[in-house]
Amino acid sequence: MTNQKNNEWDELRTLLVGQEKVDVDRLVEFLENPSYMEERIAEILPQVINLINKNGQTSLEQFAKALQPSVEKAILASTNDDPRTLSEALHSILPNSINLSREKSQELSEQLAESLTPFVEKAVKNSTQMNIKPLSEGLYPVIGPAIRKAVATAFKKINQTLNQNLNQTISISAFKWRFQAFTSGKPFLDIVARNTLDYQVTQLFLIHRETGLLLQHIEAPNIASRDADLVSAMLKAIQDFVTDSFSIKKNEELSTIEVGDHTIWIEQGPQIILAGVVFGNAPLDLREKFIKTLEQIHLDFFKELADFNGDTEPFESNPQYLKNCLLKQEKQGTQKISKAKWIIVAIILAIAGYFGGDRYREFDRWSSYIDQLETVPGIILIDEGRKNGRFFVKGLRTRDSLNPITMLDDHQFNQQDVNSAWTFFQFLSPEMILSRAKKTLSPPDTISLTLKDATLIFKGIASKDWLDQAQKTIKSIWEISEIDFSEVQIKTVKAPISLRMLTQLKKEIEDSVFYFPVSIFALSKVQQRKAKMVAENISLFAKYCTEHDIKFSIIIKGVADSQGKKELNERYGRQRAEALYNLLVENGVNKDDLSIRSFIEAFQDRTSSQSNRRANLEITYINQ
Amino acid sequence: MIKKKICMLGSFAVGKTSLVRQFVDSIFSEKYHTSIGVKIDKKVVRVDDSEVNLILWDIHGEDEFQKIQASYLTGTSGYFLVIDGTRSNTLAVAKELNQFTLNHIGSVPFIVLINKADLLSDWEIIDEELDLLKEKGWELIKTSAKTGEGVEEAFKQLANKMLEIK
Repeated sequence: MTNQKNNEWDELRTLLVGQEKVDVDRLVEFLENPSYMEERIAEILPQVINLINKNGQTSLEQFAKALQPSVEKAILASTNDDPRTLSEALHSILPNSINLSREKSQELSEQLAESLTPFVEKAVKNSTQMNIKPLSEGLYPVIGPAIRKAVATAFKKINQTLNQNLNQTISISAFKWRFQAFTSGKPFLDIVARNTLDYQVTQLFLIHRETGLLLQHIEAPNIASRDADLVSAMLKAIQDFVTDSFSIKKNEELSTIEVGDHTIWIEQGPQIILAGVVFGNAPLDLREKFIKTLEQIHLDFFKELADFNGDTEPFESNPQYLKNCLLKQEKQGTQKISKAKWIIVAIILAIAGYFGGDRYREFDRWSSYIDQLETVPGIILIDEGRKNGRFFVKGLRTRDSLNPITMLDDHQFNQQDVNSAWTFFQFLSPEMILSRAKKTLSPPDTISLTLKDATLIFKGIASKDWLDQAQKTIKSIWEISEIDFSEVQIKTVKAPISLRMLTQLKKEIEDSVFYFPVSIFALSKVQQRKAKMVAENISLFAKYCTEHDIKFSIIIKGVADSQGKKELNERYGRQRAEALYNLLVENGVNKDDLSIRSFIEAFQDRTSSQSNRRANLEITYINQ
Repeated sequence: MIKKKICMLGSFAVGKTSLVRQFVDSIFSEKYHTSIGVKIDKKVVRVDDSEVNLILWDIHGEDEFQKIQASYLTGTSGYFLVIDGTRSNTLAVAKELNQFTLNHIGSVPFIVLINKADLLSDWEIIDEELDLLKEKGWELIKTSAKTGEGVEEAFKQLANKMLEIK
């Protein structure tokens, strides 16, 4: 009954709202299926946004405000879930955004700079802490010009003050130079410098800093230079020597060497050194030129320097850099002396001649004394002359030379009237060195000695012991740097070769002592290296012993001093011995050959107590 | 032009300087050894039809290796360790020097020159010991300052080794 009623209702509904029902069903389906909804929204969203845009600023702001929480949430979720995706999306637009903020608004760009400052500071700090080299190499070509600019500004101010002061001085040259400055429009000080300086850069060396290898060398015409490769390396060696000898900091290196009229200016870059030999007084701006050239070469040859493997061709084929520094400046020609000056000189000479007869004869006697001094062997004159009305003479003399003070008598001078300052020295002539060597060594009749440069050459027959002794003794004569035994026949009574080797090895092993600091029972790195060598010697020793059927045992003696408790000291000694034992075994020594013993030595004082804290080895032959 | 810095190391009086004297170009006196501890010479060798300039730092030998100035080794592309065949302790010093060099500049090619090859009958260093070194991978050349034996070969060999590992 109920079913029949329902069907009737349906039929009636179809007749009344048939089409509308279909539409309602479709609407329900559309609303209930999200994918339909998304498609539709996607179709209309651009149009909606356009419309909002068209409706003006207020609608746009309302829309943005409404979207803000959702967008923020979405970004947050994206960052948490998958930061990489967001980073990838951002990396392509980030540079553009920064550029845009700079172009669009000064305020924005300042804000950006302010917020980035702590990160940039931290990054620079980290970079310098980890490795200062990349940053300093990058900055090197920039920082030099910047500093120079600052210094130049400061000096310009000083120059102006100096110009004012000099302008006030009155001399003929000053007037002349001031006129030159006026006509040329150059600063007065520059003109003064130009008129007084006289210099020439005679040679330039471009040197690879790490290896000391010469990259390029140029010299002024008519300059006789020696092998530049060798000079370059030696310059580097001298620099190293100075740095090491005087514990100079790494970035403070030898920058000037003065020899007579020549000065060697050495400018350092991170990878190359520019050394210039300058004759005379060069202005400081020449040095600035050297520095600029060095910076330019670093910049232009960045890659060649980074990959340098000894190939100097790229540098040799570009000589223009150094050529620009090969400068010279000649002094003005000597001026003619005016007639008035000649007359004054003549009058002075006449007066001197009239009054100076005695004085002249005294000078004559003095000259002959000085002439004689210069011919006496073993005397080197440093200075002589007349000061405050008294003659003086200063020099060096060997102990066996003639006495220069008593020689004064021969020239009718009172010894007390002359200030004589003589210092003793040892003369370095080859004959003297050789005679000292003979005296020191007392060689047997079968040996003859000769000296070539600084090498003492031995010829003839001598015993091994004497040669060993001679080698030690000769070190006291510091002028001898090498000894040459190549022409010596050694007189020996020989044991079979490996037995001799055994004795030598045993001595080397037993002579090795390992010291320990207080309360430390491990060996230092240096001592560990030593232990490795001793272990190699022991292995070799063991091999020879086996070959000759010799049985042996090695005792490792750990020593402590007698201060404190006996049990404790014994333990210390044993721990020291064990430390050495472990290292020897690690380095391949057979455990069975080793045994450990602890020793206590009487405590005397603090110094000897240090030598008590040690371990050493003793070898005993068992069946010999 | 290829240039390489090489060093010559060895105990006192093993004859380093005498060994190369007649083979190198030299402008400095041997007194530099006692003053700054190094003397510099040059040797030009031919490798595969091109010339290589070897700048030789002849470093003054000391019995205690600590005395050698480590800075002289910086930038070295290869080195000679010189031993006196008639004095076994010079081998021990050479081993220490080798370790010292390794600590300071790392591993670069080197050749051991055993000097006084003309006095073989007086050698303290025995063949077994040399075999042991060869096993360790050391390249050995017997040389004589008196006859010049082995010296030219040593320079060539070292230049070859250095150029192989560009």
